[in-house]
Amino acid sequence: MIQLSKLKPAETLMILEGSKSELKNLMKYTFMDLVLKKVILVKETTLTYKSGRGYREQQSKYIIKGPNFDNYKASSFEEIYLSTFHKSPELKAIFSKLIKVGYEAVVTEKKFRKKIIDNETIAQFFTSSLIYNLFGIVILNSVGYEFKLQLKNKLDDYDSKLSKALVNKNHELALQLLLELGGNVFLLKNIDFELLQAIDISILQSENLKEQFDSNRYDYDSWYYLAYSDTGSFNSSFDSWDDNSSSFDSSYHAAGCSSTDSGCSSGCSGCGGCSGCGGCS
Amino acid sequence: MSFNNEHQILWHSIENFEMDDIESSFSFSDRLSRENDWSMEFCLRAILEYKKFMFLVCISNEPLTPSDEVDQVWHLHLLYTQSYWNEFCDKTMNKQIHHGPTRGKEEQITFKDQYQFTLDFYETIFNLKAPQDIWPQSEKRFKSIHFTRVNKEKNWIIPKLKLRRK
Repeated sequence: MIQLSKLKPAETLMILEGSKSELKNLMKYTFMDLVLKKVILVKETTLTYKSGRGYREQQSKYIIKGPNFDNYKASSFEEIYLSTFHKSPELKAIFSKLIKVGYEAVVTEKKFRKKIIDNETIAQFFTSSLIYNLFGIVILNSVGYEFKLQLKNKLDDYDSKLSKALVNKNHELALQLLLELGGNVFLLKNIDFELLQAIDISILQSENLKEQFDSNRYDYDSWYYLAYSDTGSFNSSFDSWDDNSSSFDSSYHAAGCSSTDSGCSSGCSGCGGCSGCGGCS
Repeated sequence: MSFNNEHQILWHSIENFEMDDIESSFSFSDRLSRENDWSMEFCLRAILEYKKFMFLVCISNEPLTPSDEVDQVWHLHLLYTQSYWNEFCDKTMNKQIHHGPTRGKEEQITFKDQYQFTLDFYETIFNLKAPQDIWPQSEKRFKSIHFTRVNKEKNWIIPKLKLRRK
């Protein structure tokens, strides 16, 4: 059986759920897996905005390329988030904007699923034919079906072992299990992410584990985002995108502009534009 | 990058200047994407290039000319007057940078030269070539200028067929 840590969570989900897997989840787990592997990093920043006559502060999450970006061999479906950084490596993207980039790059759910199952690690488990490709049907072959059963059992087993290890505060075992699971930890049903967050950073930094971490390209602060992923805004950002993406372009949004306390009283009516701007002074 | 210390500080503050209000459901980059029919990826990259251009303007003794893509970002930013004049020019760059539309054909050669100078200056300062999809070569830069505002509710937009020579 393929090692769990070799399977990316979106691949695991495609084996387990096939065409019933939600696009939002496939995208979300792909994103989280890339954060976990430090291919991309999440940075929190406080922004100050002019609001009326005063200022307001707002926490914002930025995504930048991570230390493993340059050496990471990305699968084509992961490129929905990475291609921007290939073209502009120094870019700092607001989290919600990068999610939009991802949604735009997906094009259609069927195409995205196809990209995932065509990945060499799992392509062997799926039946491929012109008709299936045309209609976006995902069907496991007999080897794939057998693998799915094994995978399901294995994940259930990890689920119970990891929960116990966290409840019993056996952090070393928990960490060992996490390393074996890789990004598939997001797929566990019973995991308490708050308990997971309680893993002591000092344990993660201990010498005997450091080597494993390095070899697995993981780093201790990535686990913070593991916990974060299930507790709030992270999920809701994907949710709101999924809910609002169709109405996003509604004509309402683009309709108006207004003046504030100085400047024109009638808003603005569009400048004449220019064709070849004269630069600046 | 070939920056001195002062440049480093200035670039850092320009780079970190946020044009998107993250609480807004239709932010700067959303509008930029909609008005230019650009993907969000292209918008984010064009905004970064706009910031680089403004940085170059701040440190250059010569007038500079942006690409049309960067110019579109600039136009839109100018509409956000509070953000542009107060937050960006006054507080971030400490310099008021005015936008000067062309006065006609007679200036075209000047702009071509300025644009080429801008590309060269970009390369010198950032130690890399400006990305061609946002900063096309100067021969191309002044050819794609026939833009107009179209109401998509009343009009279809059909691209002209391109005859390609091999």
